[in-house]
Amino acid sequence: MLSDAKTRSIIIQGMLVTAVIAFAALLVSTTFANLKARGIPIGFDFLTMPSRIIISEAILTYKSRDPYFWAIVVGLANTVFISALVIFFSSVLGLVVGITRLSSNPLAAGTCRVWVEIARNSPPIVLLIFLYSLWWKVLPPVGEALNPLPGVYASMRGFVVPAISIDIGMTGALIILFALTLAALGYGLARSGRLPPLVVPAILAAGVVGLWLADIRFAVDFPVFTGSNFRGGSELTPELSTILVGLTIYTTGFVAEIVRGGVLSVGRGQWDAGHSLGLSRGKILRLVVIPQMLRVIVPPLNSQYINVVKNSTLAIAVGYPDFLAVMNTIISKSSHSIEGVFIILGAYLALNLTLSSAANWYNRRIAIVER
Amino acid sequence: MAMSLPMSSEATPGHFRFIGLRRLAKLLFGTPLNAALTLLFGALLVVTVPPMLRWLVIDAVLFDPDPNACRAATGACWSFIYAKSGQLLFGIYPFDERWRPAIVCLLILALLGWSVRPASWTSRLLALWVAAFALIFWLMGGGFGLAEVPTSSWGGLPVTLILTVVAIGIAFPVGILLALARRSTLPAVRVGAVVLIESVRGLPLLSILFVASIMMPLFLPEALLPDKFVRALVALTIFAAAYLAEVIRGGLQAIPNGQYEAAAALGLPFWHTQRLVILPQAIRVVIPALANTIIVMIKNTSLVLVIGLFDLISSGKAALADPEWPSPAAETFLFIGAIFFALSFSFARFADFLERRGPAAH
Amino acid sequence: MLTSVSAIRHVPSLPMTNDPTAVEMVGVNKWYGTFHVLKNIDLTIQRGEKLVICGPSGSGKSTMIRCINRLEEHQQGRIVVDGIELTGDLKKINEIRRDVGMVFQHFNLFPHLTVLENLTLAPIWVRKMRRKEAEQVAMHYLDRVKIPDQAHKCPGQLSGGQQQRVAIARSLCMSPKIMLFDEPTSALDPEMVKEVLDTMVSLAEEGMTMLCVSHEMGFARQVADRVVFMDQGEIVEINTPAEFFSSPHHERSKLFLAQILH
Repeated sequence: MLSDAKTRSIIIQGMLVTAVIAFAALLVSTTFANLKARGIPIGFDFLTMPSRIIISEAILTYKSRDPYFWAIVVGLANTVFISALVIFFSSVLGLVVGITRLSSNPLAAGTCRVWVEIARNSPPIVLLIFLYSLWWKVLPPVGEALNPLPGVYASMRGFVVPAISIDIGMTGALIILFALTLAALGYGLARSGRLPPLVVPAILAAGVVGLWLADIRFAVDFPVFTGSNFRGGSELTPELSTILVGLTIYTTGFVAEIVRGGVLSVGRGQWDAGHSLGLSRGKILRLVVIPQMLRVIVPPLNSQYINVVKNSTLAIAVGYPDFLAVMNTIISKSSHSIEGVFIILGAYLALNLTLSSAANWYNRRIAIVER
Repeated sequence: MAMSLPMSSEATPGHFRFIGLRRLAKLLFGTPLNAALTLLFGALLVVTVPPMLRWLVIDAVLFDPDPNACRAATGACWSFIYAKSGQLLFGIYPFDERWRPAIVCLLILALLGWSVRPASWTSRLLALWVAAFALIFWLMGGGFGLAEVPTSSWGGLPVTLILTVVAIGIAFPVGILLALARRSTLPAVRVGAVVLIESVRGLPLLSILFVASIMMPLFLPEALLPDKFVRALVALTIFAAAYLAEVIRGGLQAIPNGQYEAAAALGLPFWHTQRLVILPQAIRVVIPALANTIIVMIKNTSLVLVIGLFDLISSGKAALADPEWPSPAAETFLFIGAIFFALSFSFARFADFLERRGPAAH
Repeated sequence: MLTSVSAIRHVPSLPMTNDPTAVEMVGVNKWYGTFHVLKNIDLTIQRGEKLVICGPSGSGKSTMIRCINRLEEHQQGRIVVDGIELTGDLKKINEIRRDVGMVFQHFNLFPHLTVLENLTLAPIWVRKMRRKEAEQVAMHYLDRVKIPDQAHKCPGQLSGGQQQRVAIARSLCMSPKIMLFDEPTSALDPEMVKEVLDTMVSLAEEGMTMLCVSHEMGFARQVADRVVFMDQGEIVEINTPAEFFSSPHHERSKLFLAQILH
């Protein structure tokens, strides 16, 4: 009886499910018992209560009188902010470093190789702590701030960069939303080919007019050095600056390797074939090489971007309040650990799923372009 | 940018034997692009390297045991590292017993070096490791004639090495089981494996460590509650197992169906088929990927400091707290970074070696 | 060489029961989704009988012999092998597989093991033979397929013909009562077909029960007791080889023969 394939499959699966349920039941019951013994309530209603925790810096405005849920949002915004900037800068730098590594110039290729090896073989947390310890050692006091790029200053007190402010009114925002919807609709219809060609430019023009009517004030505020301080611009604290610089250095090493692999994956035969068809270098690059390279690099690049989100939790090592650090504080302050863990799990899974689905969407698009 | 690509093929190893100044000049300044690159990177190196060298070597204090020498110098304070090396490497482990973790480190490194030779991959190696770990835990923990040292006093490099090796050692068979479960024909088994693997892979290791350290006291009855060291080990093992499972699954997918059919036709039952026919081939295919995962794990063990375990970074921080010395943080973390770099760089070179050898092995 | 072979001459395991039937298939049906691969197959094979199964590709001939050792599951009908009926019972399936050898089109040798290890794997782990004994048996069969000197090489180092002979030897090491051949020569270069067929002929001469999916007409004429012609999942014609090749009864057989002979 036991050796019958169907019976056996039912028994195995039944045992597994029972084991999982039993384990979960054990966890839940001991957890409730432990919580009861310590007099800790369960429920999400604490989220609307004032948190009274301190978040040392935040992208969104935060006061310690704000409720817990807002503290969570603020932490999440910090994480998203770090991740987005690191992803952007490491993509650009990684492209440059990866291609330079393939150069025949030994000086350039060698320097980039050193970068890649250091990034790939050091634990990011050690890198961050090291950079943080360097901050006061290497950088000058505010009075002698370095000015490597116009509008960018670096000193002991962190970076000062131009602030970008976009100012739109409520009606403006609505008009933009409307115009964008129209434009997207027009684009979609144009692709499916159901509209006469003239309609599309008309819709796009409407969109542009809408944007103009919306009266957006787009301002860049350059910091001005006053001798002892800065006026204007945005100041990034040493902690935030360390995370941005450190994670960018680290991630760039990985992106560079992915880019290099992508370029090498397109064989010379593709260039030869392009030349034999009489295509120009630029056309071969654009029509033949890049599409194939993208197909190779998008999946690993996506998992690298997900790693950036995960690595942003290392902010805790230098004391920057990212999402995990905020949640950690909330859990120890409110004692709502179960709820906190579920929020942590949910948030990271949601962030990663968002990134993955964006990459998948993009991947499908290149796949279509290819055919 | 792509202009530089076809030229890179000139730099084959055979050419370097004939490399002369003229050829080097041609590589550096042969084309406008190369000349520009040379100038750019040359300028970068000229600006950054001399001050770095001055700080690292020329102006540095090397062995002077007097802390005031460091206060006076403008360069790095290596004498601190030299004076504190015991504390940096072994943390708060009792001073008189430091020979024990030292032997443990040497033992693990020697075994690792021995194990990476493909020639020594036999079942005897496993027995060797099991025996070695019995010895290691005896040396670290004491008993049977040695003074007892609780895990809360373990620290530094041995903690890093033990966590890495034990986590990977346990995670490897678990990863194999998870990979097989994910390919199972039984839906409940498959779904269970997918949920476990994907949710672990979707989370930062730090959050898993937090759950292990904060939540375990709530999840488990007090009697079953393991100490901090074991909690970190559990978290690292679960994390490693999920990643290893995906790597191994990649190998399993590369095995043609004919292998399963041939084994079935000979009457080999499921587990024999997996152990004797499928897994040896699947693992061989993914050795480079496995090596990469192991490098990631070596680097990841550095995170246990966040939950208060005494690894290399924490022992570095503790050493820095000595008020007699001028707290040379950069030097300390550079030293710790160098240890991690040496471990993972040598492992990476080994992975490269296996990858190049790969096709010939078949 | 010949003396050494005859010295430890292989005696095919004699039928344990008096039942003269090796394989019996009654009303066997199989579907892949909605595609009907096997339609009402009725076939009885006597012990010691040699059957050659031919037919156009996609006619279900491979699927049919793969049902005999349950590499494929049939959905309807009865298959009895060596007195054991094939059901979902895993124990019985393994029992049957132990006694039914199979040779595949693409050899399916285990590339990570040496030739000798390929041959001893199943005797050691399934038959629980001692390693030494298993190696003796293996060398005996390697001798028979005439490649004893390749014992310590890996399969990848051998030619296709040699690999297929190793595969045959691997099956023989389990002392099977029935041998299934699934297009054993169609993945081979032409010059290697003969060495494999010779091995099969000598096996046939020793009285092995054999089912061969093959288009080798010379082989069929030489050893087959019956030829089974299949088309579109049905057994269209069962005939003696002489009659099948000279005057086939069925239109579809004629058409098929016309195609492969020209």
